Amino acid sequence: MANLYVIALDVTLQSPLHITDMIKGRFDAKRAELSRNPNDKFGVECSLTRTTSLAQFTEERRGALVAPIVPVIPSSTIAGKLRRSATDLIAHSLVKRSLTISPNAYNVMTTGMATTNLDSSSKTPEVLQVARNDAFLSLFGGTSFALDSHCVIADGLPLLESTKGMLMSPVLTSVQPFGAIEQMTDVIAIIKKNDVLDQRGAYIERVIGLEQLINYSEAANADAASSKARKVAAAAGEEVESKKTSIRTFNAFEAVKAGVSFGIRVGVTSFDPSQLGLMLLALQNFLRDGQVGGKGAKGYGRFALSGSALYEVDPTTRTLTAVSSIFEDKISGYGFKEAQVIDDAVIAAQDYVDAVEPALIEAFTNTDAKAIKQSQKKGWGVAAEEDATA
Amino acid sequence: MKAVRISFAMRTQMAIPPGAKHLDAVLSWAAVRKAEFEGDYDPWSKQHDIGLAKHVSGEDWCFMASILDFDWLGPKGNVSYIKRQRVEPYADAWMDGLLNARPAIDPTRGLTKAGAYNVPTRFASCVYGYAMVEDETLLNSVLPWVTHIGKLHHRDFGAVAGFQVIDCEEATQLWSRRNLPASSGLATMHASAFGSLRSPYWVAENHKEIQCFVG
Repeated sequence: MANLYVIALDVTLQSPLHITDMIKGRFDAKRAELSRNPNDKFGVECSLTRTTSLAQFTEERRGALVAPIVPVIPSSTIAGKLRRSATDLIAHSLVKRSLTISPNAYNVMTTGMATTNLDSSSKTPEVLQVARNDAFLSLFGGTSFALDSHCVIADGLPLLESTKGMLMSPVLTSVQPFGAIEQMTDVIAIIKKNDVLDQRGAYIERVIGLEQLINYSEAANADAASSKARKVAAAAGEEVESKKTSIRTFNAFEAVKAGVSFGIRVGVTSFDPSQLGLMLLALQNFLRDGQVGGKGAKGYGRFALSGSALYEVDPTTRTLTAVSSIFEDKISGYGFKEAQVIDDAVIAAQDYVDAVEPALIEAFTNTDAKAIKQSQKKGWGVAAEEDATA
Repeated sequence: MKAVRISFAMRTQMAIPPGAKHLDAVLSWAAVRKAEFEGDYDPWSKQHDIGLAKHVSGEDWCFMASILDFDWLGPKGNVSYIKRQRVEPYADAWMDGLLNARPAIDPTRGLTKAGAYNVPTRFASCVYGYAMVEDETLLNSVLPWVTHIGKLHHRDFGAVAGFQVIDCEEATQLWSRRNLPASSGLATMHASAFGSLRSPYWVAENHKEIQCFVG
């Protein structure tokens, strides 16, 4: 018999967050106006952050149904981070034991999705049994067998009165009093400058040379003149070739403000304590990394944990029973709280990570059902554990 | 046999199903998950243990369960996600001595192919169907396992907040709004088509001539 758990993390942004949406908006800097309609003609193109609609609060406005939207941390972003964290734990263990895997196996571990040779027809009970007993494969699934994952990773939703009913488990901290999305986001403009043309720094003339600088300046002026002429021609309805002539640009993107809190929720079906433990270790790495979304190098998307909880789920009634909070604070490096379930799970996961066999990963990568079946007879994992002890 | 209406209240928006979704398909998925949870060696063999009555016609049979109806709420949306490979982890793995061959990343083909995916989504306040129940205890044990409906359940799309089973006399007629055996005399608003009569509906090898509900 397995166990069902819900892992709840409430996190608070410490710097703005931007996760690029497929759809672009427009931003007018003079009016400080953001439009989410890419067909609007004013201003400059603006990268929007990812959002989700709250259909439960749909209203009719000017004859059209409009649902409010809120920013999200997409589940695919969180899932990708957790999968990579778990892969890193296994990778470190393999390197430590001087074991290697193929690039294809590494690819399947990090992305889970084999784009070729999908072979769900070989999913025999034996293969599924082996996958269920392996913490990584059971949790994250995928491979050429298109295995089910036994965790549910939800979108990270802002902790609002309007979203709390969409979360897998209750809000741990408190709901925030934001209403419209504009209260949670800002538009950030980036102006790229031309240091040479603007002669920023006394060294420029000495480094480039006066003659070169004059030539460059004349060429830039000519480009600007031709660009202006093309704009005039385009305005008159003539067909003109689009050509970028200046490296000076004005870009804008939408970002969620620092201070906004999100609820991250993960459901785990754990056939063995190591499966809950591997997810906890992956989440610990995720928290220690403390960054999500784009422009991380510029300090965007930093977050800190504001609350955590582990719940046990009753399979019949689906009611949640709080087991314990999970993580200590940031200063302690998000160490685990003392609780029997957490201790057992983490120890089992560390044992699993220390004993992972590359041959099993390769067998699932290469759709080698025969090798997978043999693994049960050989007792992979157990043997490696004994070797490590010896 | 008992005629019932089974309804599910939803917690999150769901991936819009590309075609008709049968109530018994959702229950079969739940039965497999329940069997897997209970440690069954072959959970797929339990996919038809859902407690619903069967309609037999000649050699064919199907469950007496209708396709699902959706009370859609709000505008349609979509969820997009991308699959891509970053070079740095591969470079690190190679330099750490983890990989037994030099990695190559080609975003246009093979295992490292990049892709962008888009799934239309919408919120349904209620999802419901009609069925004839043969084993109420078995059905009640399976229903809590219908935790999600539709694709992307592992991303918590189509999450079920709760379910309700109520007696419904109309269900004695309404259950037949589904794929029926070709020889069934119950077809009313149906057309001849190729499809499945029971789960797994998606396996093409199971497709045969049936009567598909088109009402």
